Amino acid sequence: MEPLIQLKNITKVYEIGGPAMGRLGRLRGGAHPGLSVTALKQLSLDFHRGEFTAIAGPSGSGKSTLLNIIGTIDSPTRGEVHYEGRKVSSLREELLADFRLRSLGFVFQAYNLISVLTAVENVEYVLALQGIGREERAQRAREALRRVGVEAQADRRPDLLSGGQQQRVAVARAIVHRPMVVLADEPTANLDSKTAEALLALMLDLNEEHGVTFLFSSHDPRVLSRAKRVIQIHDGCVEGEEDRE
Amino acid sequence: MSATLAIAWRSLWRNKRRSLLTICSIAVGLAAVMFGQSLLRSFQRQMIEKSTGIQLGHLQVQARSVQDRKVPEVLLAHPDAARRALESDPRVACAATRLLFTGLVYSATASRGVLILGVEPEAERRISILPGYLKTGRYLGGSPRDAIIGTRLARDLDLRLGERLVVMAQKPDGEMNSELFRVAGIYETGSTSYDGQTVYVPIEAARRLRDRPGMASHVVLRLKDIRDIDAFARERGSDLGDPEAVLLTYRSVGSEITGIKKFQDALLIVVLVIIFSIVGLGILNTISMSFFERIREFGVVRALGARPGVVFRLLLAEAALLGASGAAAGFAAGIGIISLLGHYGLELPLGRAMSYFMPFDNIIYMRPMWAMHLWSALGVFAVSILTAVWPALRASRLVVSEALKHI
Repeated sequence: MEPLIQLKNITKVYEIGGPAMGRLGRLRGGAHPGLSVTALKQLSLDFHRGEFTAIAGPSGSGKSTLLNIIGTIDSPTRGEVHYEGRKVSSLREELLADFRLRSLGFVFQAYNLISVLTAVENVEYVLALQGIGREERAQRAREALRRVGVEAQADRRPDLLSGGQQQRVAVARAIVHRPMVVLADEPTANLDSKTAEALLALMLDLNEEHGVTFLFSSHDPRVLSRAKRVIQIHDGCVEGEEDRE
Repeated sequence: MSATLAIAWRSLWRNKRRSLLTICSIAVGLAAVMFGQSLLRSFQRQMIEKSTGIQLGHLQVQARSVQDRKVPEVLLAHPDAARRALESDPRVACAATRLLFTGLVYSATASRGVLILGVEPEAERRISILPGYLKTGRYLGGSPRDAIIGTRLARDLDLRLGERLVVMAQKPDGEMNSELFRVAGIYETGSTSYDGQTVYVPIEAARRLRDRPGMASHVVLRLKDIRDIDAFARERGSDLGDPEAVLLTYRSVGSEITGIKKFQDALLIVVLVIIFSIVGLGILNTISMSFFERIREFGVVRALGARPGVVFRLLLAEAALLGASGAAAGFAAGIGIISLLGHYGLELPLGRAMSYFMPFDNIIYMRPMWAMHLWSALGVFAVSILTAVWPALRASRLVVSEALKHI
């Protein structure tokens, strides 16, 4: 079966300091082009539909960079990202945005809800960007909020919600448009253990009951223990992989 | 309301004080521009009304070869032909023939150099505002030897109503000629030059004095609507029944009026540019602050799948809402101030600066200049949007992964 996502020899190098550092180096008589940090090295991975996969590793191991590249919000220095056999890593900005809008859902560590919109409006926003009419998007947004258990808070703004409720709203926003995959970067890092456990249970339920594909990063062993597949990353390389299904 | 507009509108109120201050600064700027426009236009309107009412008329027929259009030195040989040709036009309210020349006036005790204006009393009542300035006595028309003089000239010559004065002027052959008149009325316009230097007499007496029977220095026309003058001059200029005559608008005859108007308009444009720049900087500051405070949010919006143009439009929409709110508030405030000053009047500290040249009331009753004000409001709105283009472009070009890390 063709993988949902294929990463082929992904390398990501960050130039720190950039041109200014380079100029400084030249002024000092050297040829220093700025500092380079290699976040991912020749990394190749496949992900399939319906997975509930954790990307694990210590801070600075490259987990977030990997998720950003999978999520097309960052581009690899070398290598290719394919979705259902289609190369997306070389698409121009507008097409990448359209791709993310239709095919991906995001859950961020810091929730990142739009503070001036209510919970339901935050969820609706993705549908509004897709051009879906007001009635349909309101109905679908409320249904998504119901599914994640925060329907009662639908008309509240994020500052009136707890961290756990905000993250549930973020999950509702990530799944409301039925994406191919939901990418979650340390989704439980800002939550207490009980709330984190509940959120993880929700994600697992969405995966098992509704077939939502989840790729998430974490370094919390309790979170990793619930993943069906764990990919260990260290210094930008895959250090190990465990399939628990 | 679309999602973008909803976010834009609510984002404005994240920092209420900043947005309100920006809206207030736009409103004050626009109200100031409208005040300036109305003040200058009301000032200019009075200047034109007074100068055309007392001297220039809306249009004049003069001899083509005249050098000094204010006091024509070449006369129209057949003024009635041109007058008849134009008077039948339905746009003409009234017409009058005048003979204007310089001369000397004597009383029993003193003499002065003056401008003598021979007029047709009946026609002049309809075309000139001078009869309205009579302080004592009556207007011309009672006797062929009536003369009207100003208060200042009456004082200089020690003349009172009913007293005699002699007017002396040169005939075409260079001989001096004189006529005796009686003071029928004394006017006071408040203008130093009019009240001290102009004598009005019946045109037939003036023609006799200069030995110019049937001739005139100009024919003055007043139209029903002053806005028609250019079209009228264009359409009727070649149809005067006298190849030696030319049809001129008041702007050509009283070029100083046009000069003052142009100078004031240029000043207004300078003020407009300054105020628009201040408004623009205010908006730029607000939108730039909004951009820097929300880099992470723009990153989220972009990550969720918004195209760069969505973020661009979001900030432009915020600027447009700020501009529209400020413009609406400023427009209302401007109209309010203008209406108030239209009712009670605004006394300008001009002293006698303007009234030296013509009758001029220092109290201006302002009127709204709707078209100008609307253009200004639209200008403020456009400036608001234009100044937001730079921060909006920056927001739309953010690198999503870096914007998401922004604290």
